Amino acid sequence: MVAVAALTAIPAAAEPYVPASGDTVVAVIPSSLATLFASDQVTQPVTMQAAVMRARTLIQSGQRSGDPRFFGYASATLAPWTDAAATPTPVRLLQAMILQHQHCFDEALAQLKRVLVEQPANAQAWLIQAGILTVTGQYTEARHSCQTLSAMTTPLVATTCFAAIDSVTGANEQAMQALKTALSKRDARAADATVRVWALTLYAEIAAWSNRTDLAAAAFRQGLWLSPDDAYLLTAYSDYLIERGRYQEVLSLLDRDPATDALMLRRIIAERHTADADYEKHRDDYRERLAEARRWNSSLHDREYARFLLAVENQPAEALTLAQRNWQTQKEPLDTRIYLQAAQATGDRRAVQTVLAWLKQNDQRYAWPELGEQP
Amino acid sequence: MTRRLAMLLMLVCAIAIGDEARAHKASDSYLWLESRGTEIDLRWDIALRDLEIVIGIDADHDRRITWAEVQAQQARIDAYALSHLTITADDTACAATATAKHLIDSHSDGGYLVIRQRLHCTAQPAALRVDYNLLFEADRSHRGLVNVSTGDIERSAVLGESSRTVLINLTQDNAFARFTTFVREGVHHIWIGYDHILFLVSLLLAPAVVGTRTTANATHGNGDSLMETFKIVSAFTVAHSVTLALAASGTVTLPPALIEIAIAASVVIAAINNLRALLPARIWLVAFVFGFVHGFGFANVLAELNTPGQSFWNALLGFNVGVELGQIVIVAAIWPLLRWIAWYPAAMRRTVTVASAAIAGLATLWVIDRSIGLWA
Repeated sequence: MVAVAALTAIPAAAEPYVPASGDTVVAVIPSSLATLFASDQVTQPVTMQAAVMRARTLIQSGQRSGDPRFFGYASATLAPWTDAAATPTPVRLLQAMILQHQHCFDEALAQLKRVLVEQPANAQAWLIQAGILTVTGQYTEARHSCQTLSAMTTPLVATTCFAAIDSVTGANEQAMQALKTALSKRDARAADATVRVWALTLYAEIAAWSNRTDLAAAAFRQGLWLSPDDAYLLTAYSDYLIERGRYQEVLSLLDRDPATDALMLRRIIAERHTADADYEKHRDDYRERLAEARRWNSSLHDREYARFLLAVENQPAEALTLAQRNWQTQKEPLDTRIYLQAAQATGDRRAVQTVLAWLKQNDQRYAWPELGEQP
Repeated sequence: MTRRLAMLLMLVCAIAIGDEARAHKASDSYLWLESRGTEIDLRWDIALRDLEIVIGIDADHDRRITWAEVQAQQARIDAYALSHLTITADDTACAATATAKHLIDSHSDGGYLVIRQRLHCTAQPAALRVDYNLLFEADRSHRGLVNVSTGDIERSAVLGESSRTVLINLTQDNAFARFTTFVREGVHHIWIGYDHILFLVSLLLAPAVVGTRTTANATHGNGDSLMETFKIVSAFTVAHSVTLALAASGTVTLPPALIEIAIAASVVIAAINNLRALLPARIWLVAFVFGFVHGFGFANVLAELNTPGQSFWNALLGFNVGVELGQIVIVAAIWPLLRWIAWYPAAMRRTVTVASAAIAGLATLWVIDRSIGLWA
């Protein structure tokens, strides 16, 4: 076989191989994928209702696992209706969720606006809109969305909607109290696990920022008990542990191979501080993934990249550029925090002043232990 | 006891799967094409979990794809993959002459199948066209990452659901050849870009250039007109070069739809100005100010053109030079014509009125048309 000999000469990223035996496992399919693509279901849904149901399940799987492929599947499922001249409203709502996941916030808001013109009582559209407006720091508008939503939904959903805003506008105690009350009500116990996990995660995050360490830990663990593989929850819990220097616990939390880049990064940070034997290997893997993503123009989360540069690579100047760009679109506490840390690390007083002024304006001071050192 | 055994088994599974499950990534396939003479060696890495959703490789549904399961589906995988990829060399599809054994490769998000083929093209390709349609029916975010190399050139391209085709040039590997390609594109663009041409024509019909206001005292000669034309063209060039560079380098970004409307509006204003003076008599100033808007329009075209492997500044300079050359040719054709008409002041006045009114009318339609596109 002359051809084979010549073909192996192609330069490649890694060395391909022939598996040792037929029993060698060459790939593992995530469980949610296996269920959703069982061979009898592969065919594209024919009716719009069926497609919407399937896409909704796919999006939920993507949100829980942090696996971006699910959003591509959802998008393909909806394609016959998104490509049509008039996109049906239920399809548009899911498009907005996909766009939100891709951090295309303006586009997502535009879609939601059209959904709400068609269906002013669409609770989910109001909820997603409130979420995007909160993440992007448009708190007054976000509050208005929650207000409209509260007449259409359960008390737990409404409370969590408001608490997300309260927690970043100076009312964190109030937000915690409201969440605690709502979570203990009978209807909350009967609520969908997704909603409960969402409320618990928020409660845990607020408690962590407010230094209510025990309350935070209990809520994180309760959330993980309900949804053990929840990528967002695992990330938030890891951050909580990292902040308190409990690196060993991060390593045991993430003992299985992390499912997302964000979790990979938390593990690397913990390994760095514990001088773990795997630190360099994992750091190099992450570097490789970053380089690959940049080479092919893949979407990178600027915030995570900035954190890697700051916490692992000691490149504060580069981190600041990315953190600053990220903060233009996203203003969650984590976004603000990495921006502030990078600004402080580089001694960029103007950037520090910008963040401080913004924090003061929104009364977010409580969340920032670093602020004590500021004039 | 049984329960304990079940737990133990679960633990074993968790460990085994933990070993294989990697951090998530969006779906990408990697396609390497190495062109040598009339042969092309193809290596294509496709994620097994991606093939699973379109082929169904995991026969026993245990979520673990074994090498034997892959081999059992080899024919279907090949048929699926290769029917979703077409490599064309200079308008003729290249056919496979040999297929090497499949391999497995580990990428950062799991196991990939490595498909290898040797393709034969009728002649040594000057350009390769890749038509890529893999997986889009199942995953709209999927991308094909293409890397093409010959002995001394290496080009890459990213193909996606909305950009399934790429043309990769394999011969023009020196900077000058690339430069001339973009010069041609620049000339081509100004000639097919009627809005730019009509803007220039409207300026050349302005009183200061054709001399309708001053011919009565016969002081407006060829020299004055040529000077005025020179000033207009220079001012337009300087202004649009500035914004072309700013926009093409990504320093400034404006929505293309708004730019298109603004360009059409600039034509309307320039044309109406010939019928009733709205703007300063110094037409070069008008050319300068509106030139900024037109530069953004050129940048949008350049952005669509830029092909992989091109040096950005080389392409930008080539394109800009092309635009200027195209512009000079147009002016060189129109200016003598206008000077000739200028012998007959009445005819000149009529020409200016009719042409300006027609241009203003046409450009108004453009404004409306482009605005409708924006709101639809």
